[in-house]
Amino acid sequence: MPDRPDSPADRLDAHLDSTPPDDRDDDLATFAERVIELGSLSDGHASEPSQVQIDRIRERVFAADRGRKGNVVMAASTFSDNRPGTTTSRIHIRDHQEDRRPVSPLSMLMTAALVAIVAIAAFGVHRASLDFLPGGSDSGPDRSPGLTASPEIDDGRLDACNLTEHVSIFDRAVPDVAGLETAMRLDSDGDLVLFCNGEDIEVATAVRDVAPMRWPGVIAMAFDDHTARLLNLTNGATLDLDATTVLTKDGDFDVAGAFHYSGGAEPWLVTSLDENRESWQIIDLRSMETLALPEGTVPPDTEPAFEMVTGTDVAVITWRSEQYLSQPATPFSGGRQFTPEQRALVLPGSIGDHRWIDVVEYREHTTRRGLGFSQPFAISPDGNLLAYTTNSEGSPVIRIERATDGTPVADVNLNSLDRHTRFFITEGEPRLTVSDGEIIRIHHLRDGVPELLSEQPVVSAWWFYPTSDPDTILVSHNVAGTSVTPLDVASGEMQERYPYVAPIAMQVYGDDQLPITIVRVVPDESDAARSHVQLVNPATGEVVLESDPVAAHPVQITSFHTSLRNEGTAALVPIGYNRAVVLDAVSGETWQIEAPVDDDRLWRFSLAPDGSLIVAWPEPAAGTRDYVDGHVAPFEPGAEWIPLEGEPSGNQVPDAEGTPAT
Amino acid sequence: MAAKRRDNRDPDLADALAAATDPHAFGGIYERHVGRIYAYAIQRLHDPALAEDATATTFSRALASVHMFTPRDTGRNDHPPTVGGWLLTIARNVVIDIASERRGVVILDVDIYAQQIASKDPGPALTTERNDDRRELFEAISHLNATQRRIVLLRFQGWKGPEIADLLGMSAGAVRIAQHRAFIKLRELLESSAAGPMSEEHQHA
Repeated sequence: MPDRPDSPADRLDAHLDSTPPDDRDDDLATFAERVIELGSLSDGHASEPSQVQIDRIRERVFAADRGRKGNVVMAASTFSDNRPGTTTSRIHIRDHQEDRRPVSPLSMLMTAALVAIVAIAAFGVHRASLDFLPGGSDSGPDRSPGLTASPEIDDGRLDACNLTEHVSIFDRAVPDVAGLETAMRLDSDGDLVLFCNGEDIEVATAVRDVAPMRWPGVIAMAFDDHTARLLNLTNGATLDLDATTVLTKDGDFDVAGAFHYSGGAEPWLVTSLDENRESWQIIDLRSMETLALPEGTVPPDTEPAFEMVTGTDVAVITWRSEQYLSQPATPFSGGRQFTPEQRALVLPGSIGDHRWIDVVEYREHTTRRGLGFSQPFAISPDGNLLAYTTNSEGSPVIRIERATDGTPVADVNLNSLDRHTRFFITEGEPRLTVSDGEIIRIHHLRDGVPELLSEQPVVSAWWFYPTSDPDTILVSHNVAGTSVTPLDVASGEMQERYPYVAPIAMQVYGDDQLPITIVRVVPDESDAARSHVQLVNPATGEVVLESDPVAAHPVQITSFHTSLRNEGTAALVPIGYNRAVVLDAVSGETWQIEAPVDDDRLWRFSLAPDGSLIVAWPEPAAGTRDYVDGHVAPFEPGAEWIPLEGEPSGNQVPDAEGTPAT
Repeated sequence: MAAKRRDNRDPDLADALAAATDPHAFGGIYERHVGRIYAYAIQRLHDPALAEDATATTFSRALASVHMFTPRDTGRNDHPPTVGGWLLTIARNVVIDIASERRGVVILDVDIYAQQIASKDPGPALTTERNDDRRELFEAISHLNATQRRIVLLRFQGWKGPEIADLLGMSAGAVRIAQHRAFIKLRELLESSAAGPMSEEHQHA
């Protein structure tokens, strides 16, 4: 609604923006001024930085800039993960992260992303018939919790379901949207239903909450009787979970706190076995086989962390003390702290083949963000090689061994374990790339003997990523934001393929966990206040697709809520409070969308996990965390929004404000 | 009478333009905004170390891209972009990045923040009466809609209307209207409570 000149709203704003506030005799302005005065009082933390902090921040800001200008031209893109977090239940939509690769050493990062109406579940490519194991078939007319053991479920109906794709979970009727063939639905009466090709297949009853796991076809269900169970739909394998460790007091899943996932499409899940979180279990989500770690196996007051997992089923798990990691920051000149020698659990593809390795690292406590922490592990993209920092006769080395059985390959000496130590191992004739934050060294491991292939300065190398080209890795930096530079590990050549742009872009990994697409935002050449969103092939630097100009500066576009789907060919980048840019690399089309309702609410957008839908939802109303008023639209230009409304009541098409695009 | 023409340019804009070629000019922007950016970060992260980290990262990113800041109408908003709003937008993204990188770090969303403040003792720095006033105020704030809460809380940190508009991607006019409604509703809520904190007997010099 347009505001008239010098309206009461104008007067109030003018009063509050004047310095000091003007002396208008306006009751509301006076009231607002008092409110602001009261609200700006301390809430327990000093709301103003101390002079020491101001000086320290200044040093960091301007020192970093001096470093940047004096060294290699930084590359283009932010390497923040795509975080399409989403899971839903009929009670609350819960936070969930579906990332496929960790960015920090603490790889079990749990997103704080607010979420869409549609939840994410991955369904398997190795689907067998639903043949539920004994003990999981206690569903009956009394609505007692359990899996539905309907004999019809084996009658071939699932063959028509598109279970090889990610499947959305709805907390109400599955909307009639083109392209949405398979979905799940949690009804208000607790029935969890698999919907495919117009047919409902009941999966479980008395379900209160459902959370998709990261392995295809696996879901976790919380039942009305406060029990919880994992189910692998592809083979019927189930595992009862300890409700006291995975459910909130309300009976919903504590997804962020209870489930420790490996990054990527890997089958490992870690949950605690007791309320004190001192005993743990590793779960193979494929078979529900478990490895119990009783109290005393790992240090107390620690939490599991997956380390540098890849697209393979090789993983390394450590247990880290959050208390240690959360100690207050100290200045850069502060002393180093050694971590105690610790053990890490290696899972080379199966629980039965697990082994423990001794790891040592130390780090200078400069920040709490992880910037000051070294990287203790690396796994080659093919999963064959494992590298980690350890001691050899009292000296720090990076040890390289066969991931499957621990057969030694080589030890590469390190002068020291620096707070910036990062490394990456490539397969074939192995090359170890090591950075101490200022120098990148590439070691060629010829017959187990490391030879220094190249050495060159680099500013603040932050992380390494593989690409589809085995000889090309991406080096991400953390100078004035983040950026990436391709590095040829065969020649040592560091390319300057991406000119520096504002730190806003990201990548996604395919099933093989390679970064297949970077989304970046670059300024318009003729108008720096406008931007283009690009899909970029990180291995070649090729701009796969570019949007029309967007009326926003690159820095003003948040990368956090960007969705990437369909092997990186479908992207959605939110802009402002009610718009988004959509890119479809398959059709070559890009378009902008606006919120379904033109109001002053903050709208968020996402792509459904299978890329078939665009989802929009406003931030929840005051005093509630429930997400209502969600809309979906087909993934195509000009599609109409379809509201997700009404009570969950079977597969009914809800009343639509627009016309479903069918 | 001779008179020098007064330079009415926004010092932020002048510094931003100058900093494109001379990074030293960025120092003025830093000095003017570091306090407010820190205040924003600590409200969202509730951790002094993380807030310091977020503030440093925000200014680092801004310094690296200040040459691309253009003080012109974007076509959507009814005011030129502000340096403060630009910094605030970067800070928002930085805060999100920090929360995503650090397990256990939770961004205090506005409704949670308001509810937390309403339910806890702000500390010994305030009188008991003032503490009660503050709790009652935040209880009322938690009943505003999300946009209104954001605007009011950003006002508490000293952000001005156009800067808030830049952060929220709204027009300045829309912010003004939402702000007006917010304070009207706040007044209603507080007046409806007996002897609310904004009543005359609760006013403090």
